[in-house]
Order: sequence, then C-alpha cells, then structure tokens
Amino acid sequence: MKVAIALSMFLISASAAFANDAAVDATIKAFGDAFNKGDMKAAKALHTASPVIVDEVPPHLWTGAKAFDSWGADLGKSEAAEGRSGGKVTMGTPSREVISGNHAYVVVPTTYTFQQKGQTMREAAQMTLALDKDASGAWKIASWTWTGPEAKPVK
Amino acid sequence: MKSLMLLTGTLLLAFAPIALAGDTGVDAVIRQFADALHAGDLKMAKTFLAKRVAIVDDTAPYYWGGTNAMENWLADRDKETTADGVSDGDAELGEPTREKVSGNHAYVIVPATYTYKQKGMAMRQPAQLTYFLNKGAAGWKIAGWTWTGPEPAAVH
Repeated sequence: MKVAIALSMFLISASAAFANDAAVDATIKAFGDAFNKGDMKAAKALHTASPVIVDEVPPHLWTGAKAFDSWGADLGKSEAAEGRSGGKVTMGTPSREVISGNHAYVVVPTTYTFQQKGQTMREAAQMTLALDKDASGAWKIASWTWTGPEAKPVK
Repeated sequence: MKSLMLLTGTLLLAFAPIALAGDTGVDAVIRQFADALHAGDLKMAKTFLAKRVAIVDDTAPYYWGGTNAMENWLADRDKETTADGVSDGDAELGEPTREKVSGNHAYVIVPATYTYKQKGMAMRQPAQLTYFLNKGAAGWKIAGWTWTGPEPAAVH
C-alpha cells in the first residue's frame, strides 16, 4: 500500500485555510496531511469502518471495510499502467459545507497535477465528502467522490 | 405508491430530456433512469439500479447505501424540502462532460441544474452529478451517484 502511494503520490494536499466547522475541516485537512506523508494508516483511520469511495480510476467504486485499501491499490496500478508519476493533489478551501447534527457534506475544490510521458498534466476537480461524527465526537469520512474532467497538458 | 406520492409531492428530481454522448449502453441507462424519475415511476427507476447503490446528496444525512438507498434518499429529501418550504423542484441534466468506461465499470459526470421555489423565491443550483455504473448479466446498472453542488442562489 505504501508503495502504491509513493508511486502515485495521489493525494498530496496543500495546507488550506478551511472555514466553517473547525472539527470537520480538521478531519479533511488531516486526511490531506496524512497523504502528504504517505501515511496510509493515518489516512485510513480518518475514515469510517466501511467507507464509500468514488474515483475516476476503475472500478470507480469501492465500499466496505476494505474500500480504502482496495482503492489505494487500484489507484497505484492505474497510475503505473498509464505511466503517470509525481502526482499531486492540492485541496483548496471548501466551497460548501453543510452540517446537520452528526452528519456533514463538504465540497472541496481540488487540483491534480502529474507527469505523463514528460508532460506536466493538470486536472481541476472537486471532492465531495460526507462525514459522520462517531461516538467519541470525532468526525470521520464516510464517503468521498472525485468529480473531475480529463486532465490537460499544462502549457 | 408511498414513494410515488413523495416524488409527486416534491418534484425533487424531474429530469429534462438530454442528449447524452459516449457509450450508448451507459447513456441509455442514465437516460432511462432519468425518464423514469421524471415520470414518477419509481418502480421502473429502480430497475436501472444495481441491487445495492450508494447515493451522496446535499440533503442530510448526505449518504445512503444498500438495497433501499433510493427510497430512503427520497424520503429524506421529502422531509427536508417540506421543512424548508421548498416547492416546484426540478432538475435538468446537461450532456456528460466526462464518460470513462473501463470494462464492466463506468464513471460519468453530468452537469445538472436544480431549480425550485422557497417561500416564493425562485432558487437555482448549478451542480454536477457523478454516476458510477457496473455491467453485469443484465447489462449496465447504476451503482450510485454523487451530487456536487454549491449553495443554491436566488434567481434575480
């Protein structure tokens, strides 16, 4: 898993000045920070026990207790197969955050940049996260979806 | 019937006809699903879904999963729109901005605009729907979708 992450560097989050609920934002920021460090164990710990992940990488949907690990593995395979490297995702300030009791919905603008056959590529996208507050009061990511267009060469 | 009443009462997702491009099988399922919802035929709509689906929307609790995800999503939508004084809801889909098919899996992004009235004020929310589909013995089925949208704004 760690190898897959190191290869793809799939989710490196820049420090973002999140507004809205500090605790919700802290979980999202910690998610990005964990990826920055390649710390998949910490990143996984920020998710619920059975998260739902939707990404542009096939098979596009991962659910259940192994969702996070399976997604990471599939992402690593895809990046390797497509000759991508040096990927970096920068997460911006949430463009929307709605909280209702122990549930939250957050939309975060993101930019994915990577190298492919010597070309720098860029994909401006959005991540949509659903979070739940657990019994200890900690916000956990129950779901996230990557919504982005085809990457384009950076000129 | 109860679900049909919920849908009819809130008109929460009435899809306009769309001209989808890309894989015809994938596009057909999305179109047929949208048409069934538009017609209020939830029984038909559900035939285009996988047995278990995942739905993410900007209505609390924001995520629904499992065999009754669609019904639970609709029920929660109805509660919220009623509580918020929302009426005349309608959602129009555009043409897909991205469609990625990998074997028996598909990922499709469709722009959508949700319009409604709230306490007499016309509201509008441009958003994106991210669909994910799986292909099995019965063909393409929608495994779920995510609504990605900003705060709705008043129409001036």
